[in-house]
Amino acid sequence: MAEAPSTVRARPWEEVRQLMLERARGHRNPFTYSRYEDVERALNQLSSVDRDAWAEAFLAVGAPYEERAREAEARGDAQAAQENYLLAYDYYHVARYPAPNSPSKRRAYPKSQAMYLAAARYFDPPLERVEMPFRGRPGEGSVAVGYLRKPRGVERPPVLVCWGGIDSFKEERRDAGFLEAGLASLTIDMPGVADAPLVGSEDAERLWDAIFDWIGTRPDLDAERIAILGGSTGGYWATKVAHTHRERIRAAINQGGPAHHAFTPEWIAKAQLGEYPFELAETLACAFGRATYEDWVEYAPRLSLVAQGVLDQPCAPLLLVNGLYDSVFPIEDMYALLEHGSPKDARFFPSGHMGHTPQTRDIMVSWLLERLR
Amino acid sequence: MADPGPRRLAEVREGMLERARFHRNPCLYVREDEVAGALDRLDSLDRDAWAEAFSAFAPKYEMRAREAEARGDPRAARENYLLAYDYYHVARYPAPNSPGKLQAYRKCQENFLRAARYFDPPLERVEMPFAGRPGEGSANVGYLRLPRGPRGAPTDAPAPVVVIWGGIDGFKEERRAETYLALGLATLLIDMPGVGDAPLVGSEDAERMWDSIFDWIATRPELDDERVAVLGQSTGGYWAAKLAHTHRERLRAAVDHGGCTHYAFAPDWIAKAQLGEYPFELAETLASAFGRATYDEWVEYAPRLSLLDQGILDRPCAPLLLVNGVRDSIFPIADMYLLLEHGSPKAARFYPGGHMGGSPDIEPTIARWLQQALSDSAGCRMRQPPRPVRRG
Repeated sequence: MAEAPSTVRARPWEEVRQLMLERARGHRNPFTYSRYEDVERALNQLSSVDRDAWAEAFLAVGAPYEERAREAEARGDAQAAQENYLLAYDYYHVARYPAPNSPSKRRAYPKSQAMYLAAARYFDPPLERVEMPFRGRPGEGSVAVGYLRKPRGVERPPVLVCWGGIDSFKEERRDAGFLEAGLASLTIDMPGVADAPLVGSEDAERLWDAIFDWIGTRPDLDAERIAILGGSTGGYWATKVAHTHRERIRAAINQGGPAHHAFTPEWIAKAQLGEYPFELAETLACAFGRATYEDWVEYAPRLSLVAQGVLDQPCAPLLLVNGLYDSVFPIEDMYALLEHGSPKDARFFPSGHMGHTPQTRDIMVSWLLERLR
Repeated sequence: MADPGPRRLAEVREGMLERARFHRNPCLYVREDEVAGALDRLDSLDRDAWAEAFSAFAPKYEMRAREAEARGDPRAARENYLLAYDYYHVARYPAPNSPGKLQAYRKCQENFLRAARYFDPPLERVEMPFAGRPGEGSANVGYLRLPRGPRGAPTDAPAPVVVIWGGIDGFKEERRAETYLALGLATLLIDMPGVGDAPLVGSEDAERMWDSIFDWIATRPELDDERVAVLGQSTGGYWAAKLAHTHRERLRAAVDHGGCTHYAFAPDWIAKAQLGEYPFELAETLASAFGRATYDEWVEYAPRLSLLDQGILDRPCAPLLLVNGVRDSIFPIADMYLLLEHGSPKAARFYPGGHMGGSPDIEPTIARWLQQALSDSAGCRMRQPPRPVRRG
């Protein structure tokens, strides 16, 4: 397994364990539905972040819930079926966390998807799995997979395309607030993760041509009113697409993304021991077709949107959201965005990565609604 | 923290000459050699002596302007009135806080209005009734200009209007309107509280002044009172940010260009800024816009102006654009960042320069943002029910 160089201290297992337990207690990423006792039991069987051992431990926790979900389904108990499918999904999701980068983690990811889609049969409004043709280069995939949900009672709704970052995929997007606000949600994977048909690179924003073209083929969606929301590392792509595809969207939100300073060796070393509980550089590297800490340090500077000259282009209305104390990506990256190109909207919160507070989501929804009317 | 003491004349001299060379505030039209000549006559920053030294250069240009007027040469008339205006303007700089400076300010206005007779589109001096408290004035003075329509004709539809004001040393005579007029926006130039012709001094509630401005706009059929924006520059940005919160129902948009919010009012910042890029007595001039006079009075009073401590920032606000230079040494960029940490999201554009940003890109950026915010479609977005869905 690729480790951080000796100059960067690896996080001791006990520290990882404590961080994960804390997250399980607060139902924070990656624990959406997981139960604290189950998580604690799995972690107690581990003594390192060895990828396959981690995956197997959480796969084992999920199996009985999958069983219970099937039984509930067989006896026609929809509520219990959904609940247990979501639990099974979440344990398999934790098993593949942060990224499907080992044999067992790769095995866990499709199982988490299967459980999620089984639970989704009970969602209201329903979830439709869609395949969007992607004309890639040799060796790239031919479709982007998305989950579409449409708000009840809205004819030809505007569409919010959402994606997450390096460890949180389309299955993890929570769209209830957007649906209630009358927006259709199309959740996808950013390049280099999950089902995306290409890896992250200096021009992987090509992916969104396929997404926007597909929306244009759906008579039940309003292709004239598209907004995008990229969370965490995905915020990087939201910012870039706001510039490169500004004619195709009404609005974009970058929640917690990197832009420039995050790609410097100094920041990468510092962030490796920040609030991110796992192997940050290695997981970032993996979303850009690389694997090791050194790979990331070597490649990352090429992603700077300042160096690429993207930021001096005009852009679609863009809202920047993050926490001032983010130790995954520096708040200075948000300030850098405000020093180039078109004026952008911004709201920063006194918190860590992503700027989570009880009011954050509501502020984003109101901002989107004003621009999608 | 103690008053770091007065600026040395030599330092002020150097700053003024550099500003004269690059035609930066307050030296809009004055000639560098004449500025040097005036400064040579001074051996202190004595206010009346300063006013007299610069006023002495103006009569020559006043005379030339009148001669040009008499022989029917409007270009020369305008140019010389503007020169006379600017010598009196530097004479009253930074603030009319002595008898000599006050007298210079009146003559500066007279010459500005004479020059304005040649402006295109024309400038109208307006008086807007102000219902103040005892001891306050009864009117605001403004300079109104309406945009030309297509082919230079007057517009028939009511024009959206941008109300513009400056800070502690740049008054309505110094505001630039052309960029906004060219985009079809009417401009109403006024003085912020405590400076120029304002009918009240700055205080914790001097935003009352704008009630009378907005009421007056509603009485003018050439202006669209449903599409009003404000642009406050330098210290005036403080009032733009406050109004965006306190008067948000009356505003479509506000721009805070280089203003202060909270950290600028702390004693340690005041001490530091006193020796920053501002070429004159910063604390004393700020004090004078808030009915005070000395450095110590400003240190004592300033904290009461914090918009954070006043609880203003957590209220919703009208669309607000923040603009400044990240290296501003008059008001800290942290005051702009603070605005992004409270209440509604705000738009922002920061530049690598000092106070106000110092980039030629700024005025067009502000103008385009205002034009967008004042457009009809923005209005539908903000105030009216959703439009029918556009079919592509």
